[in-house]
Amino acid sequence: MAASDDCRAFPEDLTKEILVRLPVKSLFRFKCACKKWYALIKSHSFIQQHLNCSKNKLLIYDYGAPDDDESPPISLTILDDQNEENNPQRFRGMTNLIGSMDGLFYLECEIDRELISCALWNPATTEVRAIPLPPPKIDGSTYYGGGREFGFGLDPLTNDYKVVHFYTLYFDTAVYSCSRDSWRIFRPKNFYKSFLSERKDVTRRTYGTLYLNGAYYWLLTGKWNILSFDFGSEVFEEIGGPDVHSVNSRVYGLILLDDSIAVLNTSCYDSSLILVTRASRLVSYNVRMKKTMHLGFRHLGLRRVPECGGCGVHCYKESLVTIKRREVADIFD
Amino acid sequence: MASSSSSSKTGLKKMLTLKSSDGDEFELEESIVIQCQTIKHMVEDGFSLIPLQNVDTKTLTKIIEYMKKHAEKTESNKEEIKNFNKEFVKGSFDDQFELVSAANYLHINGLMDLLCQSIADRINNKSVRAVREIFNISNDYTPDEEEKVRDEHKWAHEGGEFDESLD
Repeated sequence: MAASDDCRAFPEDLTKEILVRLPVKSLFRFKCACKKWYALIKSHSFIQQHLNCSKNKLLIYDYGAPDDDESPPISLTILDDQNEENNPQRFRGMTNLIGSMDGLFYLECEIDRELISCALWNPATTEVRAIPLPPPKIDGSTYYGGGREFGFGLDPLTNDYKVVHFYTLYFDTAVYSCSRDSWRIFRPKNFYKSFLSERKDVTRRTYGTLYLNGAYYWLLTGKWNILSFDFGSEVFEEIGGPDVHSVNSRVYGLILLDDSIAVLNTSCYDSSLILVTRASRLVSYNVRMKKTMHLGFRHLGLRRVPECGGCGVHCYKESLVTIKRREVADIFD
Repeated sequence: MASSSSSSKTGLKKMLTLKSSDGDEFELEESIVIQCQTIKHMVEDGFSLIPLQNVDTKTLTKIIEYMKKHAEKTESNKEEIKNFNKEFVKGSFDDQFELVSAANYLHINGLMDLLCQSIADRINNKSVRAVREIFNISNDYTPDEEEKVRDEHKWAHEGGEFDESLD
């Protein structure tokens, strides 16, 4: 190694240990310090290590009531450790939001059950990547009244973020990959069986959905089985769910509880359940510490149907992961 | 492995000597020092006098203070340890950097975490100019280049005054 011009400079590996503990906004500012720091903060290994150090934050999305406006804006509020609000961002007409995966969200605008636009979003960097619409369904897809389903996640082998999109009971499935920047359409084998209950004419609706370790999961009503989609192999699989009698009929969906999928009607982060009290107050309950924390946020309540207004809570980590299509050419290399 | 655990059961406290780069020697109980992975491995290899060529006396004294306190850690004195940690990270940036280098060399993970987080918290709201000074970095951008880098994330440079102080 050539001797550094500046022998008093702090070693780069130790600088990295300190910088990975900073929030995204400060890191973006410190890119201006020198070229070495710029390259360091942009590097893949730094981004990954930063993500691992990043603490959980809550993202609250708040739909305006339907009579507010014709297309109610959705405001997104980010709560940090001190429950302080910062970094507000608005997406007009957004109706669905799922995530987060490495601090990224998939969001879309749906009007009259028709998908109008969709995008990926990193709230920490404020990057938004609009993605092309998936191919439309063709006639006959309304058979058995199938619904539209989607999932978002990471193929961990190729580090590629993907969106899967399909209509229940319609055989073609589309997968969007960030590296391909296009949708791949394929027809899964025996897929439709997952959506047929014993009474052949009734579709099993999907309930809560969830990403975990390279796969996306949908909870199916009826037998409470779980449908999974592997983002690496791009293959669906159906796995047995919990005992039918143990599931409350008012169950909302799947949540991530530490490293497992749990069936519950709440959201969850950091071993904590996010609950809504009768007074419409958001509360987090840590199942490990048995501690309740008030999140100081009041609303009509969590709703799964955006048309009714309401709000939702997502847990996410600040992330430097970039979803820009082409890196802006480096200024100096 | 089996022999080392049986020797600790005999009740006799095994002592170790740490020697700083200035030549000063510190005698400590083995149970305190094994928080440090580098020394633990040397103890397992049979060393009892451990020369630390990269750690001067001033830094080593601080590190020993940390290891002694953290060896006392129990369920009941969490608050005390927390206060100790708070005081421990109060030094100048240069002292803290010395400690980071030593903690990294000695592989004391808890200390490394404590120091890096505290430095990060202290520089979080600093201006770019202050951070350059603190880390001894010379600005190698041309004014044009710096302007372009700033424009990549304009919003990150907005939102109030940043701290220009160097402590």
